[in-house]
Amino acid sequence: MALYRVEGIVLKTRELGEADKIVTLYCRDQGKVRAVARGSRRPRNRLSSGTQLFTYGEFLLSEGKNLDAISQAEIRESFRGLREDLARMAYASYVMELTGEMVEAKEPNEPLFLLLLGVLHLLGEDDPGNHETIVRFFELKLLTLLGYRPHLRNCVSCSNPEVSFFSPALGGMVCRRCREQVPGATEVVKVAPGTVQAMRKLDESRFHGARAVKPGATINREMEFVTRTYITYLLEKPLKSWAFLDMVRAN
Amino acid sequence: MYYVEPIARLIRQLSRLPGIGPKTAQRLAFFILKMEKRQVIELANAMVRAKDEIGYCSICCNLTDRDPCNLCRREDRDHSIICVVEEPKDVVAMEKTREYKGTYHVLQGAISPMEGIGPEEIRLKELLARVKDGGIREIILATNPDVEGEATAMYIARLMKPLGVKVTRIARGLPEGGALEYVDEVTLLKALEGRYEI
Repeated sequence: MALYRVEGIVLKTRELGEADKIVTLYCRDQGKVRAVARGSRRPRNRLSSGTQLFTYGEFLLSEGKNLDAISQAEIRESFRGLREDLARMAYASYVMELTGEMVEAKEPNEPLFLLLLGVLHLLGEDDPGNHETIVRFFELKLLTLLGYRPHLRNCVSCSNPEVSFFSPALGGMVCRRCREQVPGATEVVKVAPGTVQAMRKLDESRFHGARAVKPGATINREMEFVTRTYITYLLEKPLKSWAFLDMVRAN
Repeated sequence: MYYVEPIARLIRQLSRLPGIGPKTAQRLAFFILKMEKRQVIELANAMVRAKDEIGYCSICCNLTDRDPCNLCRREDRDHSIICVVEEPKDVVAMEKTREYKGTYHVLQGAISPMEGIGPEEIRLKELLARVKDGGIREIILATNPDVEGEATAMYIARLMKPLGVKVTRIARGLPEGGALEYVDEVTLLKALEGRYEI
């Protein structure tokens, strides 16, 4: 059976049978790949630590009839900081779930891979005060890289610069007039001017510039509400990790 | 369906079991048809009785046929120590050490944000109530050493801190009888952190 090597991040794991796991990897060259890690739930198995959630590593996969199997795993970065702190873990879980849900299987996207890797580093090491902004930045860039970049500059429909609503169906901001007239623009979220400003800044930032954008807690909340509404619209369902994230933040 | 209804029904029911595909279900169905009637009744009764008689222990939330369960009743156990585990199977694993003399608390799961399993979905309220009732000296967190188990342990620790109870986490590191060169770096790091003076 053919063997191949991938460089990837463990997006998700699911128990399979007595001692196996199905691991979803996000790979630099292959995109989202699912593979079975046989025996990886036994403590002394070679694969057990390399196939843990958040791990970035090199994996040797062997082609199988249905699912490919992981035959070797070498850890490059275990991101243990993400596992040893409840808030970091909650943010990282969300980032993983979002990526896993938004991408199609076997569609490579190297910039997205690098973005994910960078964001995991920041969530693991950076000051907790920056987590919210980092995640907002990630959401916007992920949407952009997958072709869903929200249109923030002016009204999607008539280019009016005075915008105060976000329409998930149109994928961008709309003005007061278009909100009432354009079909599909009715289900909208009201957005304060400061929030649109912050979103534009994040949207235009590059990776290391994002932390310089320091929106306050209220603006962050509103940005989050906008992206959550948009993501829920795109996926046609809410994400499971939101509830946990909200709970961890609340106390 | 090529089978007469009673057989088809049996096959359908059997294939609901985990790891049983249609082919295995067929094989099992025909085996059952060849079994003595007495045995078939015993099998069916065993399933119904287990379902009827097994419930959760009102103290430790382990599966039991009497409430409180045998372990919670025992007077030779130290009831001021609670070992928190994820599954009933873990209690058995722990008991095999024959060293642990405290009691247990079975969470019946672990917190998993990505599966949408939060603290409300596992048996945490019961643990909190137990500790609040007083008389608890130590809580040993023996959840699995994976992301979910770790998150669960951290969450419980945070919950218990204000109650002034000693909370400990079981050690992680090298397995017995292994060779150092084959141990991965994450485990080794844990072993290094948990080193002790001899």
